[in-house]
Amino acid sequence: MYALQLVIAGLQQGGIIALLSMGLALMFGVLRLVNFAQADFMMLGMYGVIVLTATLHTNFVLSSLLLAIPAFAAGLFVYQFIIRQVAKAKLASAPEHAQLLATLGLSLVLQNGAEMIWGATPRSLPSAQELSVWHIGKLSIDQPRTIGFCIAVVVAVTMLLVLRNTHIGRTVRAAASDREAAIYVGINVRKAYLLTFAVSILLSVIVGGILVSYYPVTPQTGSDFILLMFTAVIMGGLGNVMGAMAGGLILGLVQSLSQLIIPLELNNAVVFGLFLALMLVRPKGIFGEVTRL
Amino acid sequence: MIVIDNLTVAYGSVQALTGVSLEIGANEFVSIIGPNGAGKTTLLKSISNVVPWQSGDIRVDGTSIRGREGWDIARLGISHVPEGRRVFGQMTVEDNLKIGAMSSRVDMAQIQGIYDLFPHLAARKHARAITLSGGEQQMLAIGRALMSRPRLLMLDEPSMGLAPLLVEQVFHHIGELFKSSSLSVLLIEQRATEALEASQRSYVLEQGRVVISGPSAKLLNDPAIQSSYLGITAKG
Repeated sequence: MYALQLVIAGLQQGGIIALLSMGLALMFGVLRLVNFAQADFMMLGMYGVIVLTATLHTNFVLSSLLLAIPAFAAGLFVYQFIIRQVAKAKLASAPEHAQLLATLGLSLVLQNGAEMIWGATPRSLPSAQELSVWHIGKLSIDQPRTIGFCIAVVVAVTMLLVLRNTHIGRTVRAAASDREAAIYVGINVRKAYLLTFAVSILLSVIVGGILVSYYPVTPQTGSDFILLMFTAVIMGGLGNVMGAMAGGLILGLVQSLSQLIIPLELNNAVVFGLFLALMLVRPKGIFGEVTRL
Repeated sequence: MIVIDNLTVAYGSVQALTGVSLEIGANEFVSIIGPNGAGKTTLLKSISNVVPWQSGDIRVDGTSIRGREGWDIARLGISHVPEGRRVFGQMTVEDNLKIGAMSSRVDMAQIQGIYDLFPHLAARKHARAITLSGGEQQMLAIGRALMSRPRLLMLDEPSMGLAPLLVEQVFHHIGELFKSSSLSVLLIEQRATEALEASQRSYVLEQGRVVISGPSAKLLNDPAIQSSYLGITAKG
């Protein structure tokens, strides 16, 4: 029973990491861009939902949805005025290197900016302090985490369906697969990149909105997650969005189930130990390093 | 429909094309032959505007394409089948065709038309493109390019890496396609015999310059071409 309880907790946590990692994998798969600021946008989403919920007297789900619009706009802005300009300016040997450093800088700006505005004290949603649990037999299922997990699943499935079955999704996949061939079939690759970046930021912000319903936020919360996100992305195979989703779920499960054998404080040691072992056996990740969106 | 006027392209200090002038009329089949590194691929990439050119001009229907984005060129009715086919490997055959249509509204009858043209593709429509054989990938690349209903189809070495029987098949398909439509074709080939036989007019490109041009039938019988190109082709 205890194991089942841990599986549920693992899936709940894994779902969040999965959705976060999917955004990161999408961005790498399409733009070949490693975004160190990805989790900081999640942190901004967490603060954003706290502010919105308090000012509008609404719940975290609605606030997250409302926040999607400025999140998308912020994504467009950051790509257009930072990421693209940095690549154009030829500041480093390769545009990807300059872009990578730019995201690292952006991460610092976002973290310190958040600290300027909201301070370093952890904040949480008022509702996050109440314990609301469903009891099914001997299992206790945490409500906000379950709602969060369900939202994560819906968003992830929607994203995969859009990528797979719509015209816009096909253009993004084509641009990811072969930039030059995509140009030959009339795809505006710049628009595809811009859109992908913005959607990927939007995913992070929505995850923030879900997470803040049970997890307190500090300006450095992003740093708690970014390493796990990269681990999930690499486990799934670089640029493989489905792989990143699987990687995220596996990480959540491993973190949670490791409590059966070792103390909770060491769960990340198990995660990274497993990760190292996996890299030795399958250096290109579980599903291989192909851009599969 | 397309005029290339004194075009010069350089990659850094390496001169790829020097003062190349040529034209392709409506419903005309033109081939460009020449050895490896003569600048044939660069020429097609210049027309698609994915490599910048230093001087000269390319005009489509009298209007210069200078400064246009690469993805706009396809919308002028110019479709490029790149060297090495470059199908979207992780996407299905059908998705590759759909993306060629350049629009969210895909005419399924048009896709059926491609399947009628290349029945091999119909049988594998739900397979990922990367699992197709080289010949099938070439058909798919051509089919994808046709989905935008182009006026000019540019083919870069469609025979590359194919078995002789398949090469014959690909050339046969291209010939049929040309005859049955109002399409213009610009074919780039190292296989000079096949290219000269298929086309109406040809240009010979050497070290970035047009050295000979004329009706293909005439070039086919030109002793100079026979010795330097057709001889090489005969040996393989």
